[in-house]
Amino acid sequence: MAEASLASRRGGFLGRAVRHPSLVAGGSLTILLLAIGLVSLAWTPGSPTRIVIRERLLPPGPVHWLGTDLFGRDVASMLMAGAQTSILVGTVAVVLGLLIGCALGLTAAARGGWVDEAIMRLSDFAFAFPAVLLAILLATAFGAGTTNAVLAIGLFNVPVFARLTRGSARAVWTRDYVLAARACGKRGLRITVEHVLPNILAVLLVQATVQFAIAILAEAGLSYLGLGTQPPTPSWGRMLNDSQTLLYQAPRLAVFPGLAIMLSVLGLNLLGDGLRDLLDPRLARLR
Amino acid sequence: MTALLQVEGLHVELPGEEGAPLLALRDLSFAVAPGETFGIVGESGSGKSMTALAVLGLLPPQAKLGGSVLFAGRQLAGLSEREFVALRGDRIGMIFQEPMTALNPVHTVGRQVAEPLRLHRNLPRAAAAARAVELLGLVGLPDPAARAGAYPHQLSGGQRQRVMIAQALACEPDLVIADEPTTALDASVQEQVLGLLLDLVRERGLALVLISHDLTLVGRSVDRVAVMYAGRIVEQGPVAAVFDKLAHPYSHGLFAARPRLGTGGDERLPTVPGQVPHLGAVPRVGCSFAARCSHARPICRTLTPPHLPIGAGHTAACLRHDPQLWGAA
Repeated sequence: MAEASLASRRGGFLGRAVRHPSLVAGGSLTILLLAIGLVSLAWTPGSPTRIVIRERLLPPGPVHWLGTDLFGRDVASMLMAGAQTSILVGTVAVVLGLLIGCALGLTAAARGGWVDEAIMRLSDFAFAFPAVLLAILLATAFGAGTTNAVLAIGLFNVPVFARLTRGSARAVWTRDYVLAARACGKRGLRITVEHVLPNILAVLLVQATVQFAIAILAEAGLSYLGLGTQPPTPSWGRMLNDSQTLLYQAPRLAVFPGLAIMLSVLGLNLLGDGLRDLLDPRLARLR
Repeated sequence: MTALLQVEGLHVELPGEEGAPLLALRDLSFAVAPGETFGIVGESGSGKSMTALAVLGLLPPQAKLGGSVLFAGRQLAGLSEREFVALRGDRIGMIFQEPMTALNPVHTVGRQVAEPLRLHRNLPRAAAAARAVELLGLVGLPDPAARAGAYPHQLSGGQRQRVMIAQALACEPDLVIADEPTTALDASVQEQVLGLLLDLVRERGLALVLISHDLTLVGRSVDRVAVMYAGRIVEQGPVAAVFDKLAHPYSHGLFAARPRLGTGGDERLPTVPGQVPHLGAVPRVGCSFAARCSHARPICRTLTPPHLPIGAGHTAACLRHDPQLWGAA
């Protein structure tokens, strides 16, 4: 009976999800992004890295769907392979920020007092430090590259998640069921894991999609500046950088990666919005 | 009589808004014998719930606690969190007012009833779950095996409160503290749930502290009663004696203000004039009820009334019961 009611709940969840326009649009775009990244692992229309100078700056056609760039590389293949980079950077940066930030936020909320104060002031400090500056610092210290870009973006995510987690967790800590759990003889760590975390997962999930979008943007920005992904690894930000000297001859070279970035970020943001409405009905009604 | 719970001179101070500390509980003394049912009655803000939290060591960290709380001969005041944790849910069970918010919405009720058993008895998951189903049956939940898999929102208010009772009783505690256990329930369900709680407690010979704003309900349910006002106990004694001879003007007011059947619905209920003072506004000396009391004399504002004997085990903190002082005033 329990399983049956759970199943009906899940059906209701899916049913509501399907009727939610921004969730459907955002979900589709995000799935498309992930699918392209996956497919590119196994197959791309051409090689994203092979340089054929004879074929440089070709317009879109049957062989090169979106044309070629200054070095004769296939733009469609580069875009597909660039999705890999974006997904990789986004995932690692969000997971890094989520794990560290969430642990810090939960600790701050559970302990309170000076521990809370120390963690939050530290996160204020990290928050005030611009991510780009951090990336430049890391790049000069350890060399430019995808790993350092990911680290910088991930570190930028830490205080975002720490603050959100701490705020939501503190709200849960004031709830009666936490008092009741304490009256049952539960201690801080157990209450955190069993009561606080499950009740803030939805908020964290929504924030994760938003941070994923920001991470994609940040990676593109850093690569554009030459601090992120290094050639020949394809990256949307690098493609933008390569295209800027050719903006008048071949504007499509800037338009295609720009569109890719925009659609990915838009998709993730819509997905986040939709998830928030779906997971937190109270918030949806307020708006 | 060796008391199971002996509270002596309990003080709780909370930090106030403007630096001046608030006295949430002042000079609280009462004792509960093993197997005895003890009621604490008072208006909102009188410190009833604070008393329960103080006994369990669940006061907010800024609160300062003074006095002594002996439980089974062991001093609880000043116990570390680690030591308290071993006691809560094991030797002392707690039932909260609002089962909708006191049960975690994301866990099944079976799991929540099983939790104290897993914590304190180290029962394996399956054994604890089986015992939880037994307990749910014991508190009268229909089809307990199926309901154990339900989430709190899938149960009715009365059923949820039954779940809370099952959870509080899971480890067979010596003492159960029930804070307004039936206030959030429909009138018809109140009777059933309270009856169930009292039956279970009496069958097992457990001591019960029943906290309520409802004097009539407490009067029908417990052996002894204490009336609280503004953080103090103003009157306490065996229920029969107290109801027979209400000795504190505040108890009088509470008693008169309860609705009764058969008195005609047209008359307004008598009320206690004024309202419970804000904690910061309670005078440090003198009787805290003096401002609302029709008997008050000047001496009531300068002398804090001691607990004066009225009858066997029956005391009241009202100077009117000290003939010498009252006569001289």
